[in-house]
Amino acid sequence: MMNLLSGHMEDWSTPQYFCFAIRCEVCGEFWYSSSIPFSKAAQAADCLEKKELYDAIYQREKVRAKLAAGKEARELFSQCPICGRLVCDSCFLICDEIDMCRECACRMKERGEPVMP
Amino acid sequence: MLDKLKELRMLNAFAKRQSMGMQRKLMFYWVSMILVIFMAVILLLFIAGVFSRDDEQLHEVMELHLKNGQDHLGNHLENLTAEGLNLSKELSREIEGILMREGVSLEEVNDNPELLLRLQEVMYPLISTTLQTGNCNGAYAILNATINTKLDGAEHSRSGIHLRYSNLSTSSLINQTVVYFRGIPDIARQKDLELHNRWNLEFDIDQIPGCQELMNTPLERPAECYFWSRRINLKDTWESAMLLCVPIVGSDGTVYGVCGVEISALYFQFSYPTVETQFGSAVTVLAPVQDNRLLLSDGLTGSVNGTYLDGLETLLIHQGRYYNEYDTGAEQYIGLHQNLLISKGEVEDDIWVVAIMIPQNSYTAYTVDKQKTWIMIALMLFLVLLSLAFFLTRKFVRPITDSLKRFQQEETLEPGVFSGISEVDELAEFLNARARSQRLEQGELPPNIAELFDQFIERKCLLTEAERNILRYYIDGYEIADIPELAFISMSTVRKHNRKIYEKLGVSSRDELMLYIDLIRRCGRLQELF
Repeated sequence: MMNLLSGHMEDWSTPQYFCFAIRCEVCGEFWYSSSIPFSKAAQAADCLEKKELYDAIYQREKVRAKLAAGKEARELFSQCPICGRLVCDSCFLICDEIDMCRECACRMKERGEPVMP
Repeated sequence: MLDKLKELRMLNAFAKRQSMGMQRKLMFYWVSMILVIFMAVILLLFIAGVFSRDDEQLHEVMELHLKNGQDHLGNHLENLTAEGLNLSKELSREIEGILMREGVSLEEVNDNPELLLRLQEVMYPLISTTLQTGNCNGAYAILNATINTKLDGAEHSRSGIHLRYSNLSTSSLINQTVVYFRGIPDIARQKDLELHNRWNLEFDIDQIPGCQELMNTPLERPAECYFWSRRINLKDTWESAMLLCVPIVGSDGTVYGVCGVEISALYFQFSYPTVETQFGSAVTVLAPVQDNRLLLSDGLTGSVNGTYLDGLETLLIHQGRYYNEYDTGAEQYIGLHQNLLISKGEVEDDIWVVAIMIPQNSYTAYTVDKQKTWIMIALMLFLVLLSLAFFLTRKFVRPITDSLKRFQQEETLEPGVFSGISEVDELAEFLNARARSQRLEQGELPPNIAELFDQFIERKCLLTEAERNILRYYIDGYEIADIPELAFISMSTVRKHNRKIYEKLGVSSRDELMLYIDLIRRCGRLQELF
């Protein structure tokens, strides 16, 4: 699941903040992860001669921020077992037989209740 | 010795390996404790002198009798000695008067029958009076003169008078018949006295040890030297007696002869009857002691009724704490003795004692009776203690054994039933809990639990396929956090499913759900959940 989420993550990070976004494949809404500031943002701006060093630190912190964003997204995104798309809790229905996305449910005329109405 | 010790140790180790019933073991401890207490009590009683109380009592009784006997006999002999001394004084005056009137010395009285007759005529009333007033059975006076010096044995034949009572008996001690035992028969005829059937004209002074020496020793006064002879056999008779020998001393120190009183063995027996005590018949004895031996044959013995004494034994003395033992060789007697000074001067230097003796057999019989009583009491006490121990052991062990029996019969102890012993109740509770646990492990469930499980399994049908899928992850041991990764669903979805699952299965938390799953797994009914 974490791999699936990582694969769908878009990088919205700036030199000062780390932020990632995942787009629901049903409703198209973006979900943004919590912004995590770069710890050396101020130093990196002031001390350009150490740019390579700060870049390395930036990349390391970005990996950690992506991992945290994955964990955050795990709370909200599910994979539809029918169509295999990554959908948000608003578009994911809990049905009687098997949970699925809203579109699949509509297509198969299955009734269900969204996880997050 | 070492081998035996090893054997004992092996036996002890073997005994320890043996399983023993609780009641028997407790009984063993009780009996051990009772034995220890019993021994301690016996020891205390022994130290307290309970078992030697008979000896102390005997000592007190004997001491009392000895004191009485000593006082009685001492007074008796002192009175007789006083009578003897008085007789000596009177005789001395009379004899001296006649000798002076006749103008002769005592040596010249020898071979002079007329003078001897005159002397005996004045001696008779004094002797007779002494006999009647004194507490004795005979009185005598011997002159240091003989009627015929040319006869064989004249050197130890001396003239004198000896009066005795003839018909001694306990019933007629007061009204006795006087017989003429020694002396010139003319006086007997004058006084109308019967001659003794073993009458002799003169005394054989060799029969009286110390008499000759006493007559040959010049003295100032008779009280300087007098003695009681050892028991002697009266010549030609079956009788024996002790004689008080008091010298008849003239004013010039010449010893005219010897006078005194007689106490025969028979008279002594009548005078000193046995005293019946709870320990047996006590015999009074007056006898000399020589080389730690009591010479009864040389002294006088009181009545011997109830004993086997014949008054002729030599008794070896063993000093004891409470009493002395007197051993004849064949018989043993126990008693006490006390020295008694009955002689004075250098003529007689034996130690005389007054003794009170009882046969050891009778005392042993008495103590055996008491010991039997003690043993009976001790045995009864022991039996009572044993019974008490048995009763207490049984009462103590019964609830335990009953509980064990119920366990053996696969019964569960009722919660409200208590044995009265907290440890046993705790054990019962523990065993009950374990038994319940074992039953659960064996698939057996208490009826209410089984019902709950049935209901839980029935409710499983209410779950959707997705919820059942989540439940299966739980059954497989996964945590909530693992499920999004496994099922590719969000955590919110998982939580929502959880709420539904709890609601449908009738549990309030994941812990309760997991407890159900665990118990159902233990009961072997887990398959029913799939």
